[in-house]
Amino acid sequence: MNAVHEKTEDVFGETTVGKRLAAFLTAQNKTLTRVDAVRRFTAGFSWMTYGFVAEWTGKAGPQRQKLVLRIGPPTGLFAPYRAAPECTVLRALQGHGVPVPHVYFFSDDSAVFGAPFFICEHVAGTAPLPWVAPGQVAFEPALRARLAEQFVASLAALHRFNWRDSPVAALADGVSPDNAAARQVALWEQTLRRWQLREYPVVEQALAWLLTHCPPAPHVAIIHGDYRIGNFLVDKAEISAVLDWELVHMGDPHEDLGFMCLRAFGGKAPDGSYLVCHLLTRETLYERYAALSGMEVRPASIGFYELFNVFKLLVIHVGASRCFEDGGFSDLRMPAMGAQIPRVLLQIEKALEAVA
Amino acid sequence: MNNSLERLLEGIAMALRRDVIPRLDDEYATGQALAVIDLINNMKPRVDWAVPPLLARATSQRALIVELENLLAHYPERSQAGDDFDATPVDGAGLQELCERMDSFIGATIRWLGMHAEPCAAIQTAQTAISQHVRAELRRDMTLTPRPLFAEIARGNDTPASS
Repeated sequence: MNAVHEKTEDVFGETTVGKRLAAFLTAQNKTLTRVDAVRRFTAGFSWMTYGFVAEWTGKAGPQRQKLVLRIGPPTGLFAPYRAAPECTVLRALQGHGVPVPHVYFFSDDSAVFGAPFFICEHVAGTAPLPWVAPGQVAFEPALRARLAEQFVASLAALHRFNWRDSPVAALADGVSPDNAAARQVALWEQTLRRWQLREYPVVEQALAWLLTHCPPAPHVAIIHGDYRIGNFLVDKAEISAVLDWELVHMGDPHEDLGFMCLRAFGGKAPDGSYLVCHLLTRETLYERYAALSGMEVRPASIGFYELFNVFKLLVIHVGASRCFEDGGFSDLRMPAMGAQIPRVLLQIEKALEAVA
Repeated sequence: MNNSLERLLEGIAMALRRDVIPRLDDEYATGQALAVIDLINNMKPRVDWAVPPLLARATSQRALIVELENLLAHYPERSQAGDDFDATPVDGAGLQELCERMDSFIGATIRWLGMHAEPCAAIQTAQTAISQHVRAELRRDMTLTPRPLFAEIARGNDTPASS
């Protein structure tokens, strides 16, 4: 392993990060701030995520707050990272029906932690995962119904959000209903070409179809880009936060719906019916989303975005393999993702068969 | 597998030495982890990818390419396979490289078909042949792909996923 990599690992070790956090927060708060209990989370395959406790003495006396630091490592999966788009959206969405953590600080400057970062509120809750043992269910029926409604309502609120009158408008970059799909396909095709270690014939088949079947969007909305089980927290039977906004962009609302519908995130109800994100049937999703968003769901567009999103998942798996192969990022979860590429390719083939 | 064998072995040893061993407080467990590193170092110069699955893949790819060459012989502007894929290496690394080159050729043919999708019988037959090949290869590859441990990895513990 090369020296640069060794240095990268040390820089992002919990001890070094804790010292830098204390210095940064002391400077920001203009009062001595102690940082304790720095712990790197195992979840999250991209940004490095740390939980910590900050303690300082303010006008109201001693203060203690649990916070989260996320750092986009220079050799990570989606490097180079930028905190600004995600944090701009998170700040704009506060109080608009989408449960998001409060962002206290963010910067794309590498001066503080050696990489872009943001510090946000630690939201209580646990993240249900999409992987459930055979014969088991992710949620009991009452909780499932409650979370399903909140999950759809939150997505509808996100897509209804009037971004044009907010700082988020700066991220729009010319996206229109007519070009939203084509721009996403082009972006992820370019990413694939940059990362791929080899070609996969089924991916070329999928791309050939996607490039010639881009649907127009009903309107341009903020797209989470990774909206699924595993990326929200549940606390006291409520969704306390929607997380992992790093793929946020402007686009067709069907894109998030199509992502939710991927088989990779779904599961079976006890009666054998298929549940999107282990939460609700596809029919209920369409019906509740339409009622809450005022947008009629177009099944053909969902089909397009299901194929597009499983292609995007493939690109992410390819990226994981690539950043490991290049030696910059030695997290063994990356090649473990790469080892599952055959499973994603099979999903592409099935999604292509469903639309073609 | 998508990563090279050499890099995987190097990465596994590195992760044990840098990320696992410093966090172990049990001497026996540390000794076991060091023994794994030692074994990996001994295996590195001796192991290769298994030949039979790669040979089966190469045979299937070559059959498809021959079929495509026959079907699309009337399109000389398309890049031809010629004798590029005739030699069959006997080692795993060589076979892997051959399979990747043949996948690139098949991928280029798919892109070409996408640009020349005229309703002609030869092109439709070529597309069907590719789809059948892709389907068979994906299913073959899945027999070599165990269920992922993503839930255990994400939670950071070894207990099976549950409700």
